[in-house]
Amino acid sequence: MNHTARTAVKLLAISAAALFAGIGAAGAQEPIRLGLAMPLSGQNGEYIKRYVLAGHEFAIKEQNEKGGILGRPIKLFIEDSRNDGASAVSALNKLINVDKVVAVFSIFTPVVLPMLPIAEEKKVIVLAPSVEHPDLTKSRWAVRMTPTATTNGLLIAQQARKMGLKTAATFAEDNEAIRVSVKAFVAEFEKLGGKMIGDETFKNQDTDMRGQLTKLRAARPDALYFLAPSGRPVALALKQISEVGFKPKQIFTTHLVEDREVMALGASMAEGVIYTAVATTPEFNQKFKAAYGYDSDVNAGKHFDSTNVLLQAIQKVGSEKDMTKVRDAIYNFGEYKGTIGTFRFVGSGESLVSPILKTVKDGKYVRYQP
Amino acid sequence: MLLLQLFINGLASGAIYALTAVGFALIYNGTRIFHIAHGAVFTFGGYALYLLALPLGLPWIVALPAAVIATAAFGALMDTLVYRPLRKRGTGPAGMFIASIGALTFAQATYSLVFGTDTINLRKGGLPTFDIGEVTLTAVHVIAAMVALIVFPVLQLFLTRTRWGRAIRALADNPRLAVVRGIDAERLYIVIFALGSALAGLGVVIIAFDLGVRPEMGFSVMFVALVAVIVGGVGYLPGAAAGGFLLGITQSLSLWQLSGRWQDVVVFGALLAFLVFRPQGIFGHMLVTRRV
Amino acid sequence: MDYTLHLIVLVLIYASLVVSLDLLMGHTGILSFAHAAFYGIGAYATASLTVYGGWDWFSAMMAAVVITAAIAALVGIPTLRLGGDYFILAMFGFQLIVITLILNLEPITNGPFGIRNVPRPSIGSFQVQSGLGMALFVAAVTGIIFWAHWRFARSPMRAMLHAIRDDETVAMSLGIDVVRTKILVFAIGAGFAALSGALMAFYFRYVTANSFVLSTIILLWAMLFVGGSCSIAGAIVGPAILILFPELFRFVGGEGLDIPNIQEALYGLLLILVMIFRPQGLVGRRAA
Repeated sequence: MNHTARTAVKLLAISAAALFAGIGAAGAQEPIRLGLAMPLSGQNGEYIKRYVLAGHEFAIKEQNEKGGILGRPIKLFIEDSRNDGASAVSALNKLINVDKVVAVFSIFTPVVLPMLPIAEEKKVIVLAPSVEHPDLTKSRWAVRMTPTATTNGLLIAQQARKMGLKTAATFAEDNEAIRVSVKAFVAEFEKLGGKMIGDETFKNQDTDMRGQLTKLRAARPDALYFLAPSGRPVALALKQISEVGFKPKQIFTTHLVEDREVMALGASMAEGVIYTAVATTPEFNQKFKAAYGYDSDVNAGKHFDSTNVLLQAIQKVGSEKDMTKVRDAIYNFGEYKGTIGTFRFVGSGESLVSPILKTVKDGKYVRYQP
Repeated sequence: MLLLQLFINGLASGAIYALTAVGFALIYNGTRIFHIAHGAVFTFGGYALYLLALPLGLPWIVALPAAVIATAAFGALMDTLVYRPLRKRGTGPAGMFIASIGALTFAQATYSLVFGTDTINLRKGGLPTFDIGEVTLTAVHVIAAMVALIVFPVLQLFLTRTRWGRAIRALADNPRLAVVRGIDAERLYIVIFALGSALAGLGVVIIAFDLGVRPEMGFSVMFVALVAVIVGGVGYLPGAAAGGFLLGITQSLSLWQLSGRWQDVVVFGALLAFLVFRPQGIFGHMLVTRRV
Repeated sequence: MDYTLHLIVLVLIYASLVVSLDLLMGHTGILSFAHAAFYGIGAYATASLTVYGGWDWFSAMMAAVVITAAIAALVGIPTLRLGGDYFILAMFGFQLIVITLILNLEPITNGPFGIRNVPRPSIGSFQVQSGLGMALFVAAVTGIIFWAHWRFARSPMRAMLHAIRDDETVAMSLGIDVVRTKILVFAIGAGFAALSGALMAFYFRYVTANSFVLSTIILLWAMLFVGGSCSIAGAIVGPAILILFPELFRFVGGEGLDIPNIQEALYGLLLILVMIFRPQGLVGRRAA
């Protein structure tokens, strides 16, 4: 082997040794060990640290101040899952095998779904409160705490008919979870006597939607239901809807209209839009603001809630050794009064909770009052 | 008329693709370098415009041309820092290409680190629009069309009538002979890169008003630009321009009958068809069949 | 222990990809942008056949290899006879087409959400579980891949491919059917990539188009060039370095830093520096 090759091997050996040393250093058995694997860097990193991670840490801090659970402190192990499935699996692997956590908090469909098979194998509960993809709760080890895509679609359809809108069109990103919302909307809207006259889609990463919007403009629907899984397409769509001169009587969408991408473009572009959302209670807002110095948001609330549900379930079971029992305790929890409303666990990881309607009035996001 | 509107939309997006494709093709034909980092140069222009206009507060009339010049300079810089050392080493096209990928990746990551990954909008709200009958045009549509109408003929004149233009074409045609005949290849490379990058700069300043600036914006435009080059015919600049327009229009018109989810398939299906049945593209005059 | 095994598995899978990429690039001079696409087709074919088609793991894996090699041959026939630079464009386009098709052909690929719950390999009723079992399985298959490439490096075929790489015209004058050989090698390389894809599908039990995008092929090249081409040791060193270093960050901490972008910036810089200063990589035997 030449000199460089030998150096390379030495470098490798040192790295490997450092890794193993790191693994060996993980010790201690006492606290209740919980894990968190979320994208902490990249696009959404800042937001997640500020609100989502904060929601979990806040709940844990509160509980630890009360003496922890089962008389033991709670420790949160944090890993960066990055935004892809492979890194998420690596992060999960480390949390389960090195840090020995009994449950993991996570977020975002492409990060959470790959974790599920491994979590199931190792009997680790995955709490992904804000993931809306229907397949999440097909796993018997996952927990969701947000209105489902179906519920959102239903509510909008009912509102549209209540407002006397006769025809509707949907414009949505072409993906599975969103299609569930669209289907629910279409079925309910037609059931209540409405007529669907348009159904357009765009692809993830598309920036020019003017073609589809032009088509929709020609169809002249009373209502437009717009769906996207992130803020930027919402911002682009709102801008291009006005540029193309498309003026339906009412535009409906999801809470993503509150995303900072839309705010960057000017919340006034969203004036009058009605959307499904959840809202945190004033009590939670107050204490969060007191602790962190800035306003909370719904994700902070959902993740705060999921932590407490887990902790209370562990408390009920009396130990975290058998997570199957804890999982069952969560699934059969019944009613849980959370920060965004009342959740109802009725035998699965799906916790039914109702969304509310909000709108944009004078550039501000407020509760919708007809 | 829906069809007309879709056609106009396609013409506008096609103009941006055409500008980027011609810039890339100019560099590729002139230097034989598969300069995929052209996408990063494109994005640089967007950030340059943002910096000049917003924090530095220069008026648009100054910031716009300044951004285009900055982009040209950045492209030339990339040649000096990355490709020239490789040329000195005698690196083959494969090595150049790898280095270009490295430059693209490095640049994009750096943009994310410095500017963050959120979209940077140059203005709030929607673009001003004009209605002509039933067709709505945005300011971007109009400007893109105007720029294309002016730039391409000017470029053609430059390449055929000026000394530098002819030198570039000589270099593109037969590099060794050109050098033997006294053409200063290194200096010409800088000109080629600057010119090609300036075209990208024009494209990005137009699009930045519409969509804002993001670290990966150049990446996606490069994809389409590459398809345009294949479709138009590698080695023929007007072909690249035609390819860009054709692609933009096809993409837009496909919406007339198909849903948005099939747009990409149409574009790439066309690409596949060309690759299989007519790889030299529509105007395939110069086929690169040997490696330099 | 499982975590270490996980890292070893990752390194092995990438190493198997790099060694087949080396066959194409290092030995034959085929600059393939499409390697990650074949990896993806292999992974998706395996996943789709087992999850939707109900096939057993072995048949699915073999079918995936054959399907991918066939696709590679089909794609290679019109494109490999054209010049190297042109070929790059074509492979670029092909890779885009593959991703678009994966995202659109929902009945067989589940579109953007990927295919989940790929079964683990099994022999009779004994199913390989994660941890040591899977690590051994992956090691066995990559061992076979490495062995095949090692045997190749000692065969007369090698000289023929090097002749093509170095100067196609001369190779032709020596009586080598350049185009046909290139197509053959391209298909073989793609078949191996598909095998790596199958491994990935069995190990993660989840395939998504995200794993086969442009940044994957960039990572593979970085691994190939850092490790060194025309070298089996290089095919292991490259992935080992580029996978272990980011994982080290997990233990060092570094929150508050945008790690993925810093990493990407480093990969890019590394590629440039390697090409300028050490194109043969750390332990390679030949500059590209």
